[in-house]
Amino acid sequence: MSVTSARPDELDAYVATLMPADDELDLRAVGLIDLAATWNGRRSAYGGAVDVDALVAVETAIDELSYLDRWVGRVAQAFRDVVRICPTSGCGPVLYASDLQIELGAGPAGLADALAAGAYSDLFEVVRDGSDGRTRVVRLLVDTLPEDVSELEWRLVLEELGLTAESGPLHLVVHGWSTSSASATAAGETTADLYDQQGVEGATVLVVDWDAGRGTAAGLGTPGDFAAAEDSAMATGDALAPMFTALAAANPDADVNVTAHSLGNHVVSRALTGMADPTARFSVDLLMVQPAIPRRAPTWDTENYGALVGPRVRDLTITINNGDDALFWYEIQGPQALGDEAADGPGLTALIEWREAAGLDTQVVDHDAAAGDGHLGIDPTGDQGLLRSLTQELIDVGAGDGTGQADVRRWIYENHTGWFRNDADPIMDHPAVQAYFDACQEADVAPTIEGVRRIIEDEVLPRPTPSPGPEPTPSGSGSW
Amino acid sequence: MSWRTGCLPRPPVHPRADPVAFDFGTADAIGGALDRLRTGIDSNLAARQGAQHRFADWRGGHRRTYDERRARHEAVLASGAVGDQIARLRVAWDDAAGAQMRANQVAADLPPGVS
Repeated sequence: MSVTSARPDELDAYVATLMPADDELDLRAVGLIDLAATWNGRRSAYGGAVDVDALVAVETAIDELSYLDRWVGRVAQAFRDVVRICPTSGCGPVLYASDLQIELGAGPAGLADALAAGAYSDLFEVVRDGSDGRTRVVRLLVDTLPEDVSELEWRLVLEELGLTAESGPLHLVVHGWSTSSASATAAGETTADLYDQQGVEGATVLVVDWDAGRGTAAGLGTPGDFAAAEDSAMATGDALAPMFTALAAANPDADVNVTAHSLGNHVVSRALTGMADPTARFSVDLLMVQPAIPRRAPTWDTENYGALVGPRVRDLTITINNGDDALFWYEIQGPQALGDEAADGPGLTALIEWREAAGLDTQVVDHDAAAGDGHLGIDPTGDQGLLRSLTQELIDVGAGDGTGQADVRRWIYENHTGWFRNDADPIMDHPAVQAYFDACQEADVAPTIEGVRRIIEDEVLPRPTPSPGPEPTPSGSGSW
Repeated sequence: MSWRTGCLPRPPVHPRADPVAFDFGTADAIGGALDRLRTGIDSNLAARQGAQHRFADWRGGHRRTYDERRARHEAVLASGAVGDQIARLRVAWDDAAGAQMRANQVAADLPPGVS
């Protein structure tokens, strides 16, 4: 058994010295490969082409050295973790252990080797690897918040796992209160299916699986469970800000879509607000489904929710329903939720005004869907017609295919919603309408108002055929 | 110091001259970015070298692993690959700027009305 020794405090001091230098160098490499490719694509009669392969090698070396420097910190921790017998005065500054003990504690010194050895399997789990041609699905496991993952480490891991939207869009699915891991994963897989339906290649769906409580299963403790889940959502959002920073650094022009449901909107809003964007080019398209955040948060608490009124959220769609029963839990303990507000309520009005002033689009979908007690859901399956439509549209917009189903959906809600009757939501949930939308997605054509009108008249709300009555008897007055 | 200190200045284009086939703007952007990377690499290598004294008591297989990997990856950074790109870009810049200046001179020497 070979013996190894070190002063862990000194190793930590080394890491503390190198981290800023590594971060700085990392930032200087951001976007350089893309810029070089752009430059090489320009016509030049005088040479000067940049060797992109050489730059890739340099970038790889930077990444590996950065990882190696952080690995030194793991070695220090491994020395501390070794069980040892010390005098009552305590262990000295130099600790001893076997190579094997440190190897087990610190893991491999290379990033690729570390990933292969499962170093980040507690954070990322591949659900679908895409080898069958279908859209990839990966789960981010943050029930326990990642504490020691630096922004640079996030970036290295995201790049290594192909989660930087280099090959196609990245779609984050962020669940709400008490959603099980299985349900959240299923939602991610359905979302992935919609990318396949649209024929989008190279997409990845990342399911953010956070600690969201037990829900009504908590019995009498349900209100407390909800409050704890809300705290967890906020903490998760703050903890994931460095991951978004890393994503923005790795690919400033990444095509990123986000679906956030209910309390999941805390997670996304705070992460997007807390992140740093080294190039100021990073943005996402965000679908907020029944957001369980305070209605005034986007404009009153900009420190934590300001991304919602800035260019970091390029296109924003919000579903609201002021008959949302599930948001009851939210409102018994705090301010009114954004997802439960009236379309002309002060929170939404301010949000839209701020975004308009910044030249940003906002779509508010005011519905009265029966799905999920009016709270909609996170899984865009067949019984969530509105959510499915909005998800398809999110994919369409990202793929540069215009507004997708927005015009048709708007027509449905404007023409089939009234004081005493709401047919719009049953229309959206009707299998024939969904089949029509799905067929349009698969054919890569936009649905038309005429097309949907025909389906409504023929299959959703067919007019009853009048039964033949008795022959009218002419009266003396000549009137009926 | 700019990446093109010592190079010819970026020339204007005479109204009657054709611009040369060289994107000076993008060249300046990539040259600047490469130069920032180069100075960043220099600082990073210096920082790592300067912190090696922290390892005075670190011995064993893991220390050797660190040393081997550090040497391998630092060799790539120290190879001058980035500097080579900048040098090539400077040559291209000077050639293009010289050609533009000559084209401007020819255009300026033409009688009015001839282009």
